[in-house]
Amino acid sequence: MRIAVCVTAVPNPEKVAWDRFRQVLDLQDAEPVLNPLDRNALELAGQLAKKTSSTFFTISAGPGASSALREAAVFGADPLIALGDPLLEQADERGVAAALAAAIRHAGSADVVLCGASSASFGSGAVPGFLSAYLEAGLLSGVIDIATDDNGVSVASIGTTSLVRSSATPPVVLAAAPYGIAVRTISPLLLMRAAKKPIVDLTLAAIGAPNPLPSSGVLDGSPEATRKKRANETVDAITLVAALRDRALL
Amino acid sequence: MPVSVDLEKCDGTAECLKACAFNALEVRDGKCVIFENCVDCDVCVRACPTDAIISSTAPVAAGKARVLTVDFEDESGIARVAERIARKAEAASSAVRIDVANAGDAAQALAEFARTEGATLIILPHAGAGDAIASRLAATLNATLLACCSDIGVDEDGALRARRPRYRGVVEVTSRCPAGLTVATLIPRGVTHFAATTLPTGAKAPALQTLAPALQTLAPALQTLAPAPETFAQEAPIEPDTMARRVVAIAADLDQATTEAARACAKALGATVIDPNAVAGRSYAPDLYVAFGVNGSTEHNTAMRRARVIVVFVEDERAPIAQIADYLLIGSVADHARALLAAL
Repeated sequence: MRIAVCVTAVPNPEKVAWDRFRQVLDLQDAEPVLNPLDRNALELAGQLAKKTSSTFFTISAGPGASSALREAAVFGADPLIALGDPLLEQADERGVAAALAAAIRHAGSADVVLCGASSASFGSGAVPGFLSAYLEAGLLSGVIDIATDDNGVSVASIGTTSLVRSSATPPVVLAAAPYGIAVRTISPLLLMRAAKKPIVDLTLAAIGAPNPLPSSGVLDGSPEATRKKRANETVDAITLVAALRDRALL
Repeated sequence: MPVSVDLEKCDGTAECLKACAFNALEVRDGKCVIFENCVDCDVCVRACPTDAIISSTAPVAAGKARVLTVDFEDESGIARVAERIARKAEAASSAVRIDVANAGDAAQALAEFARTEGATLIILPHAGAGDAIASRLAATLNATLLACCSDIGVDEDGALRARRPRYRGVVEVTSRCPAGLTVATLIPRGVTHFAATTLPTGAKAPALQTLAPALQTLAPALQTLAPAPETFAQEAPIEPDTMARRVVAIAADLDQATTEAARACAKALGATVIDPNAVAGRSYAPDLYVAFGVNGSTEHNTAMRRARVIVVFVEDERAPIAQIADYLLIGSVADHARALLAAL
């Protein structure tokens, strides 16, 4: 069984600070780390690989991919594929999913693709859905356990009121539940061992990803806010007096 | 002014004040007053227990939009907001509950149902399987995905606007997406009864109970909720002592030399000197406002932001007052004040 895990890097949540002056999050000291919710997907992939005597590969797209993959290697992922293309820096969920789908196909496709429920940074949780559409695969979410059965995989997931067990025929994209999965601890020793695993860097052109990447076309930023915003022009006294005279205020 | 107040309905409970993150509201004489710095986030609209605050978002999509609300439980946290979105857009509305055991099947069934209904906006909860179903649905329908919204509205051009968090930079922004089929996920808040039957997955969608008949029944009552425009036309009141055309504020904690330089500047400008700590709760709209050493509390910034031109002398460029400044003089306030005096 071919298993793939898609992971992402997020600014270290423990280093994100609140800038009370600017009323924004200060990410200056927050280095990229593996998205905490992706650990659940990696743990499930490790368990499934063990049950099926197979291996799993991991793909990460966007800034900080190498950092995320280095931690992912602790869970036994091999090979580690990084998509560090600059085009991905501006991509939305739809674009990232298209790149991941191309990378999975480039790696030889997968029967089971695991993702975290969402990223701990923005957290739209949209990548698994888009990915399943691009791969023309089934989609199950809230997964907390995976086993194999006659159809392919048997999955326990968190339903509306109770746990639900269902089976799916590969290929299938599984979004791991954000809780309810016992994840191994990443020790320094494991990190040292994982550090020896090579990371394969690929570009979007190399994997045949669409160019430009698809996008939802959503614009962030309020036109009203822009209209009301002040100039915030830093000046000296002479320039200020000239500007005020130009505006007939002196 | 983005939102307005129906004074007959307003009972002055101040729930809107507690909800507003922009300090854009006050209760005066038992009635709510909206200030110009309102950003139309509509948080107060939802918070008001008497429905006295009315969003001015234009219902330009009248008769065109069809809103489909999808949820997984009877007690939904999105039903009320979704109903309000549909009402504001004067849109036909329907609702359906769906089993989430298989997100792929759920998205497929929803896609077929949405096509049958002719939905233009599909709203799901941003919780549980909602995120995954929404993105799969958006991909299937080739629709725009607007994820993780705290509110959704329709602007003057018929485009959707949504409030949603962003991790980098500002914490929450208004996102705008082009008109057309859109799938949105809405952050659930509170508990409201979700009136809908369950859409079976993996099979053709049967006829469903929709909200449309109920909304038609309610339409006359809803029309009566719209008061005459003059009833809720409110302007931020101007206090008698706030009419000066040139105003200078000098922080109380400046040293004597700096204060003297600032006072000399005020005299040269022919400006009225005010205490920056005494402006809270008032609204000033001078032609020129010059602040010496003022850090800029939320109350201060709210009071002064209607000034035509704002000049700020401040040591730290990260001070909140910088956000409302037209011209910034960063560094020693005393040095800049003396330089201004010389230039004048």
